[in-house]
Amino acid sequence: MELIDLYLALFVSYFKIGLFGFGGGYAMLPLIQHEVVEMHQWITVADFTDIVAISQTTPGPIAFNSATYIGYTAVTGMGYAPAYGAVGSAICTLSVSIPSLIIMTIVCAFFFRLKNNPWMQASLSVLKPAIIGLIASAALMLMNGYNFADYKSWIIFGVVLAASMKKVDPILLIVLSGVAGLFLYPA
Amino acid sequence: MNEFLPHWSIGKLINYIKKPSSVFDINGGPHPSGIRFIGTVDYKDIRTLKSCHKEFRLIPPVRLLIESRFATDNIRLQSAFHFIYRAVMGMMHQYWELFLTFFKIGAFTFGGGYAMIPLIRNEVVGKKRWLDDDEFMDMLAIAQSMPGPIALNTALFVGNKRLGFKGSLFSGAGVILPSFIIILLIAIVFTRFKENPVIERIFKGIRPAVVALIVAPLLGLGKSAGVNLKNIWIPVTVALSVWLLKISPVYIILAAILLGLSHLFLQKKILRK
Repeated sequence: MELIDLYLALFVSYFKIGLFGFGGGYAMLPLIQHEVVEMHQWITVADFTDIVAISQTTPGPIAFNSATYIGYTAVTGMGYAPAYGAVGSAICTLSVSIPSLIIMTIVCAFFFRLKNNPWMQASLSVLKPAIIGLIASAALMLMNGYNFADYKSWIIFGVVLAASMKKVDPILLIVLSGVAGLFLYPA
Repeated sequence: MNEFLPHWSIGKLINYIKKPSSVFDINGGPHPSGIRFIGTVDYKDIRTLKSCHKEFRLIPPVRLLIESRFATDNIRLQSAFHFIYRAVMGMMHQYWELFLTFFKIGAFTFGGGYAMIPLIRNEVVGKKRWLDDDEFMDMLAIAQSMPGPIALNTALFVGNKRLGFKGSLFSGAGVILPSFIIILLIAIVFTRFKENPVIERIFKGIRPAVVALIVAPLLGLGKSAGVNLKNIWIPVTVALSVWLLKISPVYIILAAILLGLSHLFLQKKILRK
């Protein structure tokens, strides 16, 4: 694949993600996964899970974190130099934020009273439950053979789920489960 | 006149402009040249000079460069320069402030999205007072119902409300840059060490934890999104069709919006009859 084609494909994918990424955060995961893992196969499912883990432990929205990471790995994965990878991540990050820029500029220019707009309310009344479904589908898609190697994975899953329900800090949980992985899976 | 020149400094001048009461003419009267000029340095000046540096501490290289380049004995040039500098800096300062505020928000909020909201509120409503509480809640409603990351939408909205389109460019860049820099560094390092067996073992433990962290907030989010027995079919259908049928979420979102709009449309039609 030519470098310029790759850049273009990254731009189009992330523009789509920015344009249809309602609900922010986890709700964007199935969209990102669909574009990046299933359609273009720039990274594997295991890599995708690693990116989610990294973006949970680093500051900033998941959409930007995944854009930067995938822009880099998709380009270097094709055998190009790291400098081209950095350009790729810049392209992804910009293209995921351009739709927001356009939309927010329009919103500010007209200053709709969106809160009380019945059409807005109507579309949100279906969109909000749908976003819950999208987050659930992100979790379901990640529950696969790559991420859940054996019964030990399910133990970690159960413990972290219970702890997270009790509002334990997610960064602490990720660090602890990394340590657990080190002990549970001897070399 | 030359005896006053060594005390001349741009930082001090800016400070005088900020406090018009402290501007005075030489010997207490108007200067023959017609230019209002500044007196000697005293204790107060030194103190204000320090606060001035604090204000501009993030751009001293620029200031020093300009000051050293334009060091001149020509008083007309000096005063002309100082007015231009003041105007430019006065304008830049607002953009710079916007950029820095959102840079801070982008750099110190882990978890993204909803975790960022209290911090943004603290900065924008509490410290900077760019928006009041009502405006902030309105803006949040807009940012959440528009596509794109919530943090970015919030930043763009505040930037646009404060300084127009250009302001939104600065605030947007501020919120994007921290995660861009951090993740790019991680990507460069991580792609090299991914094959390392120790790293692989660590991530084997982390991966199921990540899935658990996605599942955990579902219940609370479902409640706040107004999911009940009547509309529980929506999330279930969406989850199954994305998971098993591999339908692109783009179509799901378009369908959800259309469904909501047509629902209202039909309701209105029935009401009219």
